[in-house]
Amino acid sequence: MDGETLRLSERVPQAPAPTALISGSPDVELVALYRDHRLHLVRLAVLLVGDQETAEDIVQDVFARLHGKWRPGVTTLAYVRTCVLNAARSVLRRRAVALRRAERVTDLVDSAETAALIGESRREVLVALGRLPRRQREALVLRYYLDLPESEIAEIMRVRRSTVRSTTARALARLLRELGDEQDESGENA
Amino acid sequence: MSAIEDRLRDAMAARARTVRDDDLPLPAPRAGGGRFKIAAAALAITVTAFGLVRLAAPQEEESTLTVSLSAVESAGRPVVSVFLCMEDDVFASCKSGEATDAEREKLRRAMERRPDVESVSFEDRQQAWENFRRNMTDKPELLRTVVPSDLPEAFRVQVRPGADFSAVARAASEFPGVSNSVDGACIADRLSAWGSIKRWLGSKDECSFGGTGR
Repeated sequence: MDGETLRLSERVPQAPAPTALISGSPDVELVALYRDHRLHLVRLAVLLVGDQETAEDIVQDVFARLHGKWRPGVTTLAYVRTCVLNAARSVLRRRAVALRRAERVTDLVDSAETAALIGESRREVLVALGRLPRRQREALVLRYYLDLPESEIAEIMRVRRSTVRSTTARALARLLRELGDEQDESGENA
Repeated sequence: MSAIEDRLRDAMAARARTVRDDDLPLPAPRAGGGRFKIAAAALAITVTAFGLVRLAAPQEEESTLTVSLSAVESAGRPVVSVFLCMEDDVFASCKSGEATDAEREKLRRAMERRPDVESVSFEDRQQAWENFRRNMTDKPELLRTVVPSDLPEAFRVQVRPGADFSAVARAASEFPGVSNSVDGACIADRLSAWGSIKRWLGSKDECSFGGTGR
């Protein structure tokens, strides 16, 4: 089927890039949203999936899907963030299936350069963050990276506010435990 | 608690800062200009894929073939198609015969209640046949062999943009009276450049879920 798929997708002509845009058309809004928020959305995705390449793919894919679907009041930044969250979940789920294990990121620090840039202490935090269950990690990223209020996190994650509160509390407690344990261990070893 | 919060903030901000802006352009619309083309190409693929199966087992797989044909889109958007059991259906979940009215209503209500579902529409055999005929004008040999009663009744489930199609398709497949359900976004995805990358990365997307309900 793969050969056939490739052959057929080659036959589907590529659409021209949206160059001649009429002012006020939905695509103008999409272009503006893309221009203003792409980088931040990629950064959000990096904290969810761990590596920049996948994060960029996710954001590109989300915007490719949004073409022609702009609806005023519906296609908001919160909505696009939800799309990024969902796409990140799908990626993690596929990885989990491929590797037959839970939906965790492999490592939120994907290269030696990145590790050197951010330093050991931050790296510890990110490793612990990467070990959290998916939803707990999502809640922490939205709360402490994007600094969003509870109501908006609830909207993006499509859960109740009380769930956001309890998930965040559990995640913090777990993070504290993991980081505390590591410190104890290193203390014992020293 | 606030020390850990500060550490988190600081670590995440630092990680985010390592992501530099590399000025990628806004991607072109997904898989070419016309959504119809996606549908047409995807249909052609399904026909090819199942056509091969059909050579191997001509009688048994006939309805599997027809089932897959109109599964991809409705009104230009990908949908999840949930097919109901017919009499003498080949699917394992349809051993006890045609889907009953109660099963159909239960499925419809459950789908409509899901927050990730926008709308649910029912397609009877006649409508399925009309769609099939419209899509298959270039396949006269199929048009000659397939009659309306070969096509199953189906629900076309419009999933909210951004929601997880495969979760909807999988959930639907678990209801009694369902022969199988097809994730139209997954099929459209297989044709996109991103789809090829994902396959290359070794992901195994499941586009079709066999019924498990009875």
